[in-house]
Amino acid sequence: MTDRDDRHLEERLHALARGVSVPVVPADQDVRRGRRRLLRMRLAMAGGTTATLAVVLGITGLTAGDPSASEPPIADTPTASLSADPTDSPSEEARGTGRTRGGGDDEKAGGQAPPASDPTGAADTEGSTRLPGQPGSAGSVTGSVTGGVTGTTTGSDPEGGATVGPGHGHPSASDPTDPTSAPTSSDPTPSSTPSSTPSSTPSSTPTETLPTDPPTTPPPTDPGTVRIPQVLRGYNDVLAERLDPAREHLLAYSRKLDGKETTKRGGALFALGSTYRWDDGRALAGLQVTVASGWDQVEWECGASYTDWDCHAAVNTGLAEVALHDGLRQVAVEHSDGQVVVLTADPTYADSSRRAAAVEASDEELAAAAADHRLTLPGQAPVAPPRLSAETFASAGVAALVGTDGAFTQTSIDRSPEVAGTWAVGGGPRSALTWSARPTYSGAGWQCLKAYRSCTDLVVDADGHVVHVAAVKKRLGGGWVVEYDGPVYAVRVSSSDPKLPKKRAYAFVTDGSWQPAG
Amino acid sequence: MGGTRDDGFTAYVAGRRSHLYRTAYLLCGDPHRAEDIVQTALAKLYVAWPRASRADSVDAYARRVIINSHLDEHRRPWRRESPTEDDRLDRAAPSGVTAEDSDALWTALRQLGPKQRRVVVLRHYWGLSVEETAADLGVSPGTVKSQTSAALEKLRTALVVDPSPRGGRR
Repeated sequence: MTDRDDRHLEERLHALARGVSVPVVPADQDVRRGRRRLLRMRLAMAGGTTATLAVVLGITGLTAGDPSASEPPIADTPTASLSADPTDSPSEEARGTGRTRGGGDDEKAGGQAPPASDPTGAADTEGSTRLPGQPGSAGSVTGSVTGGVTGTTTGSDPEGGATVGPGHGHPSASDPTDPTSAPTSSDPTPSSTPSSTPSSTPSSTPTETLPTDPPTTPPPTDPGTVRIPQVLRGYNDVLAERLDPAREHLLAYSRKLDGKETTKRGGALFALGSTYRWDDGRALAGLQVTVASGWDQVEWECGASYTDWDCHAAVNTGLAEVALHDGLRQVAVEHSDGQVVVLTADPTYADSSRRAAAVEASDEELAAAAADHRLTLPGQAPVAPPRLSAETFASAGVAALVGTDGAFTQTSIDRSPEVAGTWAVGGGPRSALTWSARPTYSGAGWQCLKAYRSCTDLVVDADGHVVHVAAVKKRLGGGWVVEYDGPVYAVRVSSSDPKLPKKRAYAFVTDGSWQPAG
Repeated sequence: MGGTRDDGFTAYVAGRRSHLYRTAYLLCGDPHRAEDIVQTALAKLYVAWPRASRADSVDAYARRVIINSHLDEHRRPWRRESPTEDDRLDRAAPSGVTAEDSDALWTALRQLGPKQRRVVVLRHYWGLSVEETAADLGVSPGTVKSQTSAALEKLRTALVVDPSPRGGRR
């Protein structure tokens, strides 16, 4: 064919094609058909994969001769069983050895206190030792140890602490005469290793098999990888070493039963804790541990004017503060790095129990345990700033804000610090006046709320301090709010009377005394 | 099956479906089968849309799917029945091409084998080069040339017998 013939053929082909009446088919119909085809393909692939997996597992089971050997769940059990096995030494647990002993622990504890297996719920009931949900929430952040304790080392000598338990450090494998070792389970074939189980008495309770070495391994603090369960297990071991070296009462940490309580913000861990089970032989008590970056991360109402907590310093320690409230006994210690450890003995831990159980440890023992340096946040924990003296903060506020022409009646104060009262001039109350300081490391800072009618930023002095000023809506009380977000603390003053001169607040909030160097 | 896939596919179908349909029609000569081929090809294209849309030419991908779908359709057992001249049997619906316009060329096309017909459609309807046609069909350029030569030789006969120009319809 010549080129002319080629062109002629092409023309006729196109003419033929153009003459074809193309059916009108909406594009969405093609989309639907495509979707169905895609779905069929995916279902076929999933079915094929499932069938292949079933065939492989079946062949594997048949080849092994024991069909149960191919059951996948078995591979998952060691972690839970391991965490509840009191016979494991910390080093073994840290290595994550896949031992499967200790199942009886979980079963026993779960059977005794099913409701208590939810520590979160228990803490909600108590409502006193829960960590604040929002770090830096000023309203619930109170507390500091008495002045003599501030900023000082807790004096918890780890070596000295270790001497608490040497006598119990190498206990016998089990003591059949120990009343606490009375088995709650009649299982004559415990899963424990034979070497740690006395042949004379069947033992399946966690308190019967004791660690061959004292758990002296500190909680892992590798900043690279933080494994919370391991840390909580380490806390448990430390408390056992301090309070129950023979492991007669404090049950080993169980990831399933003891849970965890954390406060995180921006990927940083501000507080970590758990509630361990303390078995007094007939019922369970709760021993809650909370390790926090600072006082602002724990609810500690000692020192607040509005609380009914009964607070006192631990006898012979002078390092810790003990609080009694709501049937709880709490001990708080501030470590040298600013971290705060709170131990809570909760006799009402087991809701199903007919009697309260007691954590058989004195205030001093709890204080010494809380002061143990191994109770620390893992990884690169946030560092809380030095605490401000509530008394100094209050008196400085009165001097700066009230002035000579007025009077101030303080209505509340706490250690966060936050001061509230009434400003009066000429004998008549004029304004509700409050001032507070919140640490910025945990997120405190200025927010222009909807309750504010306007928000402005002002440079208030030659040093360039920028202060946030807001006018509060009248229906919400009116007045103004002045806040300065310093490098360490966000200092705020609010007055319900707009006539209180803001300049007084400017000078107060930007005072360098409220920004202590770390 | 996200919106991106649907949007792109819908836009492509809206713009190119008629062209694909005509291609299928030239390949099989039956509007119903052509519609089947196009539907099958577009369903395949939808599944492969993420990959096809990243290719240089979606048209090339769609063209190959049309060709292969036609091939698959042709291979199906129920397509293997012998043609019949019995007028009592149902026939395909009118395609819109007048008998005068289509008869000679269409008769010539029907005389071609499937492979030769595909070569003719790709080269003279799509206007592809020998290499592009070879790539589409998965054969060597030499095969394309030989099949083109043989196909045109058969068409020449038909066109010589009926040389009347039909370009006036354009």
